[in-house]
Amino acid sequence: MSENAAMHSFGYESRRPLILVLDTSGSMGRPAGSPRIGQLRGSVANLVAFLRSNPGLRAQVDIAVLTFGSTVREHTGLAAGRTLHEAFAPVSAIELPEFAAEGRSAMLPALRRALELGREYRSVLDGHGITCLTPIIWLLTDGAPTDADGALQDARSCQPTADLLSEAERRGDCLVFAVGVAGADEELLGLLTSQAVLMVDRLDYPGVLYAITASTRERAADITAAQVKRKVLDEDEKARRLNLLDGEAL
Amino acid sequence: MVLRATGAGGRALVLTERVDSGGEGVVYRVDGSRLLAKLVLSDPRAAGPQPGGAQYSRRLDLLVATGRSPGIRPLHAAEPCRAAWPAERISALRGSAEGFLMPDLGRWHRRMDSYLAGEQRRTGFPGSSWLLAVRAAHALAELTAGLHAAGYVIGDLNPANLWMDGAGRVAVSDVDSFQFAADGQFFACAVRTPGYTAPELLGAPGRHPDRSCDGFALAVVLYRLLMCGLHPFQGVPGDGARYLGLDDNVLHGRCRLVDPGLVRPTPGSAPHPVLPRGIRGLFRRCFGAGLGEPSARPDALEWVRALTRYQGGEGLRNCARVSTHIFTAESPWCPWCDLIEQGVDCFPAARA
Repeated sequence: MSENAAMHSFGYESRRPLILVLDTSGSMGRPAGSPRIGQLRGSVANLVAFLRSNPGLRAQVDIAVLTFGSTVREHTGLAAGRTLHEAFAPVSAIELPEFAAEGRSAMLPALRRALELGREYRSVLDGHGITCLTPIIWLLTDGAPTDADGALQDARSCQPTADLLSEAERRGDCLVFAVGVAGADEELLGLLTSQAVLMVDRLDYPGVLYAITASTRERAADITAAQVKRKVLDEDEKARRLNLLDGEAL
Repeated sequence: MVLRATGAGGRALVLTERVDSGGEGVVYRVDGSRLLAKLVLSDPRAAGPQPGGAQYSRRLDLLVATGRSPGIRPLHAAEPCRAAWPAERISALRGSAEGFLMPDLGRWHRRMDSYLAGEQRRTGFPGSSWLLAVRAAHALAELTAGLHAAGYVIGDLNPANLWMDGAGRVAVSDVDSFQFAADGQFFACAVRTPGYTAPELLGAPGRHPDRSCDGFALAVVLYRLLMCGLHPFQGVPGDGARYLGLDDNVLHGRCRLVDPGLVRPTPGSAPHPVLPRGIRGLFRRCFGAGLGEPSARPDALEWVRALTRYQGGEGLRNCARVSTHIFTAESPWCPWCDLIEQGVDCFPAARA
């Protein structure tokens, strides 16, 4: 398939990079009966199905998957030959990898790599004359970053990564969000995402789906990055309200 | 999951499968009915035009009532339906959710944004030609002109709210966001979609759309239909500026049809001569002078007049090599065959 044909198979619309940074550290293997890694897989699979069901988003969203335990893993070739960067796959063709819980929590290197990936992809698309919207990074985690020895990192050690991400957001290089579940450190996640954190009981809670989907929608010209983040997090509130509609089952 | 609701005169309804959910509401199937139900949660404290707000109930009452008028009834009473017009008010959860019954456009149509994406067009509209795009463009202009004549502004005119079938017949959904005045009251449309918002509305949250704003959005949708999905303001800025989105390109007037130097060509896009000269001229007027001067934009009726001859096949030619290649007679050769040489097949023949 020629490059033109590959791109046109999805239409001419702007690409919308969505970079999922997924915690697969050892804690995600708990609790034993219903490990959170299973919820994580279910949440990502639901997200892909939901995006595919919307014709507009199906034609536009490209997904990259980074997982982190003791090391960062970049999952490539998830839809071989269908995009211009091997880490990104169109949502219509992506085949999700299997996830396994292991090791420590290399969250900070994973976030830094996600930022680089977004910049790389945008640059490649730009070189081909293909428009690209601001890359969206979503971190899904049940914990907090650790160092190479497994020691939890504090706000001070997270600050350089937080500054890097905040500066990247200011320049329009990305928007960063986090979903925290169970024992996630909300304060540290807030520091890393400029307070764009959604705390949930389960990773496969539908509000996660609505919020991530909302973040991929094109942003109006007269709305700031901070307003986008607020609107995205409001989606969760709307989802909670709309779920009330199912509250009166027969 | 099923939900009890109450229709007109206390009629009991059972809502079953969720078929769609957006930011504002949820759409369900209705047991024993071909109609769909849309429900939103009531929020009487909200004074604005948003669904669920205090004005929303009155808006729905008036839409249901005008749906029976001779001007509107043909839009939803005949098949295939052309508007998901509110047919009956409903409520649920002891009044904390309200909404309406409406025709299920999916019985006849597919969402128009699926036609605009290459891969989805091939599967949803197999074997279609450019004539289908022309017919859908004509039908959409006609539908818009009819709604304008009846006193409505669509407000959020974009392909996610539009539907079309394999014969080029078009329908509109999200009727509850239409803008209109009735009974001494004004019901505004507050919904906007990036890329379809007229430039005078950008950065002006309190300003209401009018027919010329619909005229801008209509021209964008017509252009996309006739250019295989390409948006008229699509493209990486030619001056090295970063692409910030369609609205930003609209604000800067970056339209390749108006000035080819302002944006780099989108790879694999069709050349503008696929459009008949008269049609091209209307687009130039809308996206050039009409950008800063809304009254210069063609209105829906002007589009109807311009497209009428083509939707019947007049002024078009068939390619000698590929049966699905139909193009303007102004072109000396088949532009769709040219595109295939670049690796892009906009109108592939249906597989047997």
